[in-house]
Amino acid sequence: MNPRKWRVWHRWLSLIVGLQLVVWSISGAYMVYFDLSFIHGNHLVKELEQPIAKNTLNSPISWVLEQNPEATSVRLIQQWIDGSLQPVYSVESKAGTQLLMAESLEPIELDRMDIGYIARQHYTGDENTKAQVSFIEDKAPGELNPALLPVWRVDFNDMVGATLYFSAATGELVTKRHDFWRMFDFFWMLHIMDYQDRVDIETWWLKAFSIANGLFLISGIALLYFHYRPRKKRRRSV
Amino acid sequence: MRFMRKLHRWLSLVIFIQVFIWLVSGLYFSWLGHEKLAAHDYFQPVTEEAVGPVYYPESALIERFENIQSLEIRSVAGTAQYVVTTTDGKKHYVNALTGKDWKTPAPMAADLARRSYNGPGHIEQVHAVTGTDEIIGWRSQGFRVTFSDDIATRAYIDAASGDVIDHRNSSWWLSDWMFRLHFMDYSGERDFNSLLNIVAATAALWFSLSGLILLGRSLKRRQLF
Repeated sequence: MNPRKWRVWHRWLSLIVGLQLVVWSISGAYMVYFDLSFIHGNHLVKELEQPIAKNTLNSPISWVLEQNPEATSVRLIQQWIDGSLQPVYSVESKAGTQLLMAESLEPIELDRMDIGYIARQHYTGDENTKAQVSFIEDKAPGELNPALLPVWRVDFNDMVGATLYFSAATGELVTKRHDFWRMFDFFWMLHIMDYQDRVDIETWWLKAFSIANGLFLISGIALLYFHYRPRKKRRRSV
Repeated sequence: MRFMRKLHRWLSLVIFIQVFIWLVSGLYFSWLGHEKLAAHDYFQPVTEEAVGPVYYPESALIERFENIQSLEIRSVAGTAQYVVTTTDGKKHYVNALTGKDWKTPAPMAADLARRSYNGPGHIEQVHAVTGTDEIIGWRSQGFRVTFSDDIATRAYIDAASGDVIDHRNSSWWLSDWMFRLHFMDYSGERDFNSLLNIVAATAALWFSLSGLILLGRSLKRRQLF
C-alpha cells in the first residue's frame, strides 16, 4: 500500500473508531489526575476517636448471644443516641442487623434526628452547612450499592455536593459521595463503555473498539514510517 | 494546522507504544472480566455461622486493651473469636474459648480454604508461608493452600486472624502484569496517580485531541478520500 492509501485509511478509522480513543484519553486523564483517596471522599469525614470507656456497665456479650443464638456477629461500638455517645451492641444474623443498648439490651431504632446528629459528627466541612436527611428503603440511587440498603441519606448543601450514607440499623457511615466521585463514575462509564450499569467490562463492543483502535494505531505507525524513512527512497511527497 | 500536524506526529513518537500497551491490556481486562482478573474463578465468601459458645468474657478484654474503638465476636471455622479494634486502627484477634491470642492451626487453614472454594479440585498441600509476592501488602504469617484443579488455585489464609486473604491461580502473573502496564505502576501496588502516569496521560490526551482537530479539518475540507 502506498502512503496515500494509508493516510485515507487512517482518516476513516479515526472517524469510525478513533473518537473512542479521544473518549478514553479524556476519561483516563481525569482518573489519573485526581488522587483516588480524594475521589473516595476520605477528606469529607472523620472517624470517632473517643475510645470505649473502661468502666461502663455493659451487659455481657454472652447475654446477647443467649438472646440471639442465631447471631453470626455481635459488635460493641459507640453511637450517638439522642445526641449523646452510648455503648451499643450491633447484632448481625441472617435476619438482618439490630442495635441494642449495651447496658439494658433494649432494641434501638435511630430516627431522622439521630442521623442528622451523627452526620454532623462525621462531616468535616463547615458546621453551618445545611443538610437534608432522607430515608431510602428499597430504591438505591445509581451511586449506591443496593446491598447496603436500607440507608439514611444525608445531603450537604456544600460546594462539592457531599452526600453521606448511613446504615439504617446501626447509624454507621457506609459510604460517601461528592461531585468529583460522580464525575469519576461518569468517566468510568465512558471508559468501559457500559452505559447502563457501569460495571460490565466484557461487552463485545468494548473488545471490538479495542481491536479496531489497535489497527488504527498501526495505520498511524505506517504513516510515521513513511515520514521518517531515509530520504533517497522517497519518490513522491506524502 | 501545520503545528497541529507536527504536534500530533511528535506526540505519537513519544506515546504510541504506551497507547498500544493500553489497548492490549484493556482488551485483556475485557476478555477476562472482573472475576477472573481477581483470580476469583472458584472463590466464594466464607459463609458466616452462629457464634457458638464463648468462655472468655469481653470484660476481661476491655481491661486488657487500651483505647478500644470496637469489639466484635464472630465465628471462625466453628470457633468463637474476638476482634478488638483500637483507635489507631489496629486489629487484635483473641480466641474466645481460651482468651489467648488467636493462632490459626494448619488444619483450620485448610478448612477455611475449602469453605472459600467452589471449584472441582481438592486440597493438595497446606504450606506455612510468611507473606507472598502474589499478594501486595500482605506480609504476615499464614498458609498457602493449593487445590488440584485446572488453574492451580491457591488460597492464602492469615494465621493471626483466620481471614481468607485471597485466591490466586495460574493466570494471576499475567493479569498482574497487565494491571502494572495499564496503570504504569510497575511496583504492583495499583497506584494510577503516579507522576509517570500523569505525564503519559497528558501526552496521550494531547495526542488524541490534536488528532481530533486534524480530523475536523479534514472533514471540513472533504478530504476523506
